[in-house]
Amino acid sequence: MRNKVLVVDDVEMNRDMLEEILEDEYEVIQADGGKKALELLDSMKQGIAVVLLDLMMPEVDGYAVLTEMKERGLIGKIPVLVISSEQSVSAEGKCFDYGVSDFIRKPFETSLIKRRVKNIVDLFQYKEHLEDKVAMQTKTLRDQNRLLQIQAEKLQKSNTEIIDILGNVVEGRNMESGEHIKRVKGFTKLLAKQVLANYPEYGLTEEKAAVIVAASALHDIGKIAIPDRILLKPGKLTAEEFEEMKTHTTKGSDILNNIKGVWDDTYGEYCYEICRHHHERYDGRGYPDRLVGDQIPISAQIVSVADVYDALVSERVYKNAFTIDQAFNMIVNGECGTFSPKIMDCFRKARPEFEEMVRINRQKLHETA
Amino acid sequence: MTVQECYDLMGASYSDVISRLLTDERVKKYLIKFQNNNVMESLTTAVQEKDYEQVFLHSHNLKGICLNLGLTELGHSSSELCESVRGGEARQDTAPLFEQVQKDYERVSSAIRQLTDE
Repeated sequence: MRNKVLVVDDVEMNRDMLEEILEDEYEVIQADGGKKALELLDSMKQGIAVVLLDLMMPEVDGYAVLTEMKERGLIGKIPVLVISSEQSVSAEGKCFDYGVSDFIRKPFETSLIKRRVKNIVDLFQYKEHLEDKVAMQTKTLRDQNRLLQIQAEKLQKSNTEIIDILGNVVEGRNMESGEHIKRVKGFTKLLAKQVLANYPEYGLTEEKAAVIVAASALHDIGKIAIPDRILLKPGKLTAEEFEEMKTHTTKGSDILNNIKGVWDDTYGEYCYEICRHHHERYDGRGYPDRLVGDQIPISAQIVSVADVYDALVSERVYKNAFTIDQAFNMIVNGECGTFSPKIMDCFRKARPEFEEMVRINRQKLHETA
Repeated sequence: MTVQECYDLMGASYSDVISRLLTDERVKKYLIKFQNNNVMESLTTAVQEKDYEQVFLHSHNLKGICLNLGLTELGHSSSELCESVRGGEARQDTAPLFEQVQKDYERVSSAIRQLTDE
């Protein structure tokens, strides 16, 4: 606890008078001039609770002490109370400009000096206490924030890992879709970028778009629950078989529902939406829930275009690949489902990038073949 | 002689000083300190040497002490002297103002002597 008062005055009896007033409650240290005061401030530093400073002194005067204290960064740490018989308002103003806490004119009242000193000492001790507290809390917060960040990174990493593991399961099961998942991710990314840039009403952010891209890998997870005889059937499916094939959306979303608690909510939600609704149609004639228009989550709307587009430009056991122009026209003309006009606008805007990606993918396929 | 009588004698305000210093004993103690203080000698030397910055400083000190001790008249004249040399230059009335300070100081000083001689 700081309880030393430094009294700076070149007139001894002034110092004695102040000492007598304050000695009951504080340890009073006297300095007979500015030079001595600065020496004492240097050697005792934080031990001093308050400086009572006279202005007019030979050699190093009160202003010089204030200047030096400011230089040393002591103003604001150690309160200064100026006691002067200087009557001018300008002197008082000058002192406050230096950052002194109070300006007392002589003659001073014994009881008032006591109270003003006590007020200032208490105030500064309280302030110091608060500053310590804030500093401590800031440190704690910073530590916690760092920890949270590490955990968030870990979580994000495990989210992506889960998706990739599940994606691999689907790939392993569904013979022809090995590269399909990667390509759908690529198209989803291009389309999501356009939605983010042009249609703020969907509330996408960079982060959400990235999660949609990651989650798109699981759009066909439900296919692991479809029997081989249907999933791997080389010929056309019967009506009955097709009905069963359609259940990959609901079966997949059920699977995702069961593992909900395992990952981040955003990831879980997007995976679920995409898995369940990527075969819905904008006109309400899709499946499984026959959602209409923007009832269909934006994530699923984006992935369904990416999915259909990839099916068109890729070769399948039952069909050849369409040309990129054919594929584009079939989608915008509504031959492969109906989509939101906004999504179609994004698709048009992303067309060059889509087609560039097809070229790259086909080149890769040739190289590996 | 009481402290109050001493104050009447030196043209000073007893009611002012007692309201701040509270006891006669303490007032007397500081009057003695004042008597032993060399501020008046320093001031006189500075005037003789025409060192007006020092005149300012010491008259300022004298004024401060007078304010604290309720030495009204001496405080008043030393304040006027102080203002006359603010800026380090003497004014025409600096010399007569100093004479007034000397006169007032002598009056205070002799009253204190009477108080302490008893």
